Amino acid sequence: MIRLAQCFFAQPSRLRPALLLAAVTAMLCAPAPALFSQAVLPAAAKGDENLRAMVDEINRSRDLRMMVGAPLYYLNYNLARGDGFLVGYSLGALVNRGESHLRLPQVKARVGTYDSDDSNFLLSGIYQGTRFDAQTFPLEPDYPLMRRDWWLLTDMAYKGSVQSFNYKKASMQNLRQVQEFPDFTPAPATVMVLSGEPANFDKSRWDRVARTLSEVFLRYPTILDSQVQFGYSRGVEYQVSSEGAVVRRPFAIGFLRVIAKGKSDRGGEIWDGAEFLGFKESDFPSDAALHDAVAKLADGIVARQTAPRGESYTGPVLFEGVAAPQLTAQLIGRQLWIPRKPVTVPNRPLNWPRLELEGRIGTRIVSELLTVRDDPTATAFQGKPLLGTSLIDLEAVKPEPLTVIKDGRLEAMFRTRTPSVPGEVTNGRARLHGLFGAARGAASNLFVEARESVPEAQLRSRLLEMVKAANKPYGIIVRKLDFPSGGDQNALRVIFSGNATNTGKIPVSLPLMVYRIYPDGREELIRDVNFRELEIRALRDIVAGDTPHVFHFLENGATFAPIGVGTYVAETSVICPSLLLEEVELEPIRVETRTEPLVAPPPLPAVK
Amino acid sequence: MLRTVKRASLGIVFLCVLLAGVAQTCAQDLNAPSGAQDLVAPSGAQSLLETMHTELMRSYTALREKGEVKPYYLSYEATDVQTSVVDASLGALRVSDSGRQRILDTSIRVGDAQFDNYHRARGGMPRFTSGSFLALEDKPAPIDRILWRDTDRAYRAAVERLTLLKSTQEVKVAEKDRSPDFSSAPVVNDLQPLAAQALDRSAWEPRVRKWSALFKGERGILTSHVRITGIADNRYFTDSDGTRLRHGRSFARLVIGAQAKAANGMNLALDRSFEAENPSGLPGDAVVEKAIAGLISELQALLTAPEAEPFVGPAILSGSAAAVFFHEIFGHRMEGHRQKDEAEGQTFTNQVGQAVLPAFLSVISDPTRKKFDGQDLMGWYAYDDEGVKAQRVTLVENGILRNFLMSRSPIEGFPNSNGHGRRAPGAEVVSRQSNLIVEAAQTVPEKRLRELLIEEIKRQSKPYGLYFDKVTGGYTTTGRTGLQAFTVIPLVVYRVYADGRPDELVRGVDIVGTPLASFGKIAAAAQGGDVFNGYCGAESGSIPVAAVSPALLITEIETQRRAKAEDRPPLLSEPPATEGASR
Repeated sequence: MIRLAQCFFAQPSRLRPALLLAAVTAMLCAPAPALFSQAVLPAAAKGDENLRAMVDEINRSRDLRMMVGAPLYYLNYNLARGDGFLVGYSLGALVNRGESHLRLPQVKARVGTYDSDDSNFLLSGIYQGTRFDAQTFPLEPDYPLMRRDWWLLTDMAYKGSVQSFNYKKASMQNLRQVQEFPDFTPAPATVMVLSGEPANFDKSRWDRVARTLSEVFLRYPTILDSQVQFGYSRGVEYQVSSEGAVVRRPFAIGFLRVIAKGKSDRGGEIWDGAEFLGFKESDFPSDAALHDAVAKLADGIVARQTAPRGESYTGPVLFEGVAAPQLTAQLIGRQLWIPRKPVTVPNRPLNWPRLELEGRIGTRIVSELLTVRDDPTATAFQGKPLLGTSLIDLEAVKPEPLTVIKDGRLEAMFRTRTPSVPGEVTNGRARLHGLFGAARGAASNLFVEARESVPEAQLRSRLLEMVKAANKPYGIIVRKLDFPSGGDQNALRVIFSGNATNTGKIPVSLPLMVYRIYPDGREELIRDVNFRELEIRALRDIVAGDTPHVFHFLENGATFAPIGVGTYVAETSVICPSLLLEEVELEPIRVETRTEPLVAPPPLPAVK
Repeated sequence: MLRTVKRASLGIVFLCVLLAGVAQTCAQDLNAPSGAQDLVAPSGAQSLLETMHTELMRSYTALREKGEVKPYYLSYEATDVQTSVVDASLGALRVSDSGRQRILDTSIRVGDAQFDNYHRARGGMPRFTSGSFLALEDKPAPIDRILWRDTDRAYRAAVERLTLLKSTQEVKVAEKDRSPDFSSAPVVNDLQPLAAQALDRSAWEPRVRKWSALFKGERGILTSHVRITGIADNRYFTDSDGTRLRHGRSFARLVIGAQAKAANGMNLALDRSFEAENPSGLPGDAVVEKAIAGLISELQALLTAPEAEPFVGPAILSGSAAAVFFHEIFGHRMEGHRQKDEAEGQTFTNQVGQAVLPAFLSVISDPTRKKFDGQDLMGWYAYDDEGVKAQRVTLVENGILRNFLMSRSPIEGFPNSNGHGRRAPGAEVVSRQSNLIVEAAQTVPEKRLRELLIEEIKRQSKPYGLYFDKVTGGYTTTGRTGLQAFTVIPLVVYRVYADGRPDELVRGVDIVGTPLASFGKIAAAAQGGDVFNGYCGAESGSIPVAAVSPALLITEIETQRRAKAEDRPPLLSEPPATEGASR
């Protein structure tokens, strides 16, 4: 839940011409960030000791500018302060339950200049000195103690950046690595102080719900491992920068996770997972709906355990329901950020694969029927909340709606303040922490819209028409992908070995619920198939349904976005109609399966 | 403390790290949920044990019936750890959390006791347990599933390793020690009362907060903290021999620590710790405040103390320093499995019945002892992690080596366990130390020990000797491929001059040496003894231990310069403690 700003103001503008576009895009009128502007505690933030400590210490740290040879030109403090809760059950028994204090302070210090600084270097962010901060932030907002912590964290960050800057300079002297464009781009100083407290969750209710849902699996003796977890993270995020940005923003996210697995009749792993997300209690489905969803997940696993194995297939595939936004989240959403190649170290070459959409602005990449927008300002869709709403990114830039694909042509990418090509400026998509001192871009609310569509119910018949026209024995319907993944590491490794490549293509997760559909309309569930080199070009020839499906997930930047991974995540929503793709290749998974256990699994107690 | 125990580095060369200030348990390594409230009390303990035993016998029987390679032994151990922590610095709370977890360890043996899947293969460390989490409630269904899954996994791994071992044996020379891989042990049925975690965080928060505030405004101290930890560690053990055990222990620990940085970049850290079975046994305000004051003044004195030069000469090790010295250079070399593993240095393997220490010294390992001179010992337990009752073992009697620390893995001449098979949850059992107690038959008053030091300084024509007052820990390597060496990390060291000048505090030295050379240099012992409580990290994880020793005079000890950080102290001065510009 994001409350409207009680105080949301900007400072007078003093734009540098070269930055005009950036500033307009970023919305805010603000001064060109002079090196080390004075951060000012807004009136609306009076009494907030967290912000006061951050503002005062970041201002005092101006004195670091000329302490050693490498000049400090930018400082940024982030703090997430709040609390978390996590409870997990398996087969009706408590597995873990805990509350935690969330205190995540982060300091980013940049030395050098915007054009050439310590970031975007293989060794950026590696600090080799002593840590003197307490490594745990005070539980209470104790002003002097917080300032002390910021002081020590700043000292460490600055020294680390000086080290990186010097290494980088040394490395560049012996390599043909020319900095053609800045390491970091200026941005207007955003001042945004949102009042209010984050939403709360009823722990006892969710404790009961998680326990009850975990008991569903007592009815499924062939599911050998299952867990249901509920958790939340809530609090306030703060940000202060030496450019004058001051941000206070409450946040809350609750999650209910279900992961279960068993073995196929050939001994292979069969798993599924689901994650239900919400900013507040009322965003979640009813208890009954959750129960049905968990039972459906369990039914799906059981059905797949004995389903026939799939074969190689090339032909039309219908991505129905949630499978469509799951697919486009990966094929489009996750491809729209291009990381910058870091400066390397002599004798340490870096394999930096070219990503699928790199250098393709202005070219047609998908069907001209498709337009894709990323709209962080949207708060709801069809009366239901969207999760990707983002008022400000990690670099204190306010994002605006962005059309990324227009009539099939790639128009824009997700940009942060670290350009990956010359002339690039941020569009406020820095939503995750990245590598080499740069932030990582990610989608917010991604709308995949089709200019022409057919009624949802007709997609099946269109698929069958294609199957008949191609004289194929059957077509394929995919109703769920393993995204975010509920598979374990071994299972993911299997997929990686057959799917991921070193070419920069981001692999698409496994299809879990896959059906053959025969010309007579009969459907047959199959298992153990994977996509073969599924890339964005598969979206060139499509038929879209007329019903948008909404899918939420927590983007953690990891391959297949495994459920439960990552300290920092970006809430993301994808809205997409069912999609019939004219040609997709599937192939059977090659997995080594283990022999049956000599001992049968222990029986489950009888349930009513 | 800046050191952590990394099991990955223990592959070939054993490295022990003994730390005083870090209450690091395996439970914490395994991501204990923090801040748990409404924790389920470990009730119904018998039913957990019953569940474990029933599933154990079901799996064991079926594997015996169906397995081509048959198991001859199966055991389950569940470790239920409840932890509460309160940590504050400069008067503010930084941590106040509780957590609980249950971890299952499964041991399965295939082949036979003479040669099984645990056979040591020249430095190779077998591992079959995976340290799985168990449900916190005693409901059989979810627990059964994990027991079954882990048994299947361990059995497969055991069969695989045994097959590999047998084929490898064919191309290797015969091993010197041909003792069996496993020994029998008495079947025990003992359900002891559960240990309870008695740290009331709300009651301790104000005290910890108040104590930590004593560091406020102290010159040169960059970081400080006061931390209290309360742990209840209950263990449930059952095996295919019929043993069923429930036993546990609680302990509480108060650690005070502070760090500073000298102008030349040297990092300085001091800590003090107090241990007790329960928080109520920890010291009160007067003792803690005095300890903090002492720590502050010592740390501030160290900031301006001269850097010590590398030195070879006479020294006194205080009782706690001598305790760490013995733990590192002697205790680890008494661990039974090191006598059998041919990758190990085996310093004392063939010296049973021979003099290995001066005749006035005896060394005992006593896990049954809870206190020494009124002070709690951290290395006690009722049963080890193989279900064997803890036993007092005389390792050295009047200088003569008599025994080793034994798990159920026999060595030549020592066919049975003496209750020293230990592990942290998630690791395999090996023989480990418990409470290592050094006793001296001839002692002198401390004052006389100092006189003896001065005499020795003069005799050796040295400008000074050293007095090692406080140490933080140490480490040693025992393998053949590395140096047979040890390091003890002193915190507070004084130069003692023979000419009557006052003792001079110095900084920046570590004690280094090799074991055999060092033992011969122990010349005298003082009366009494000091306790060093800490955590020992080795192959089977981080476990609580204690070492006790009287102060010792060593005629020759070697020190080396400590590694020094190169980074400068904070570039800006400390921010003002009260007001900021933006109020």
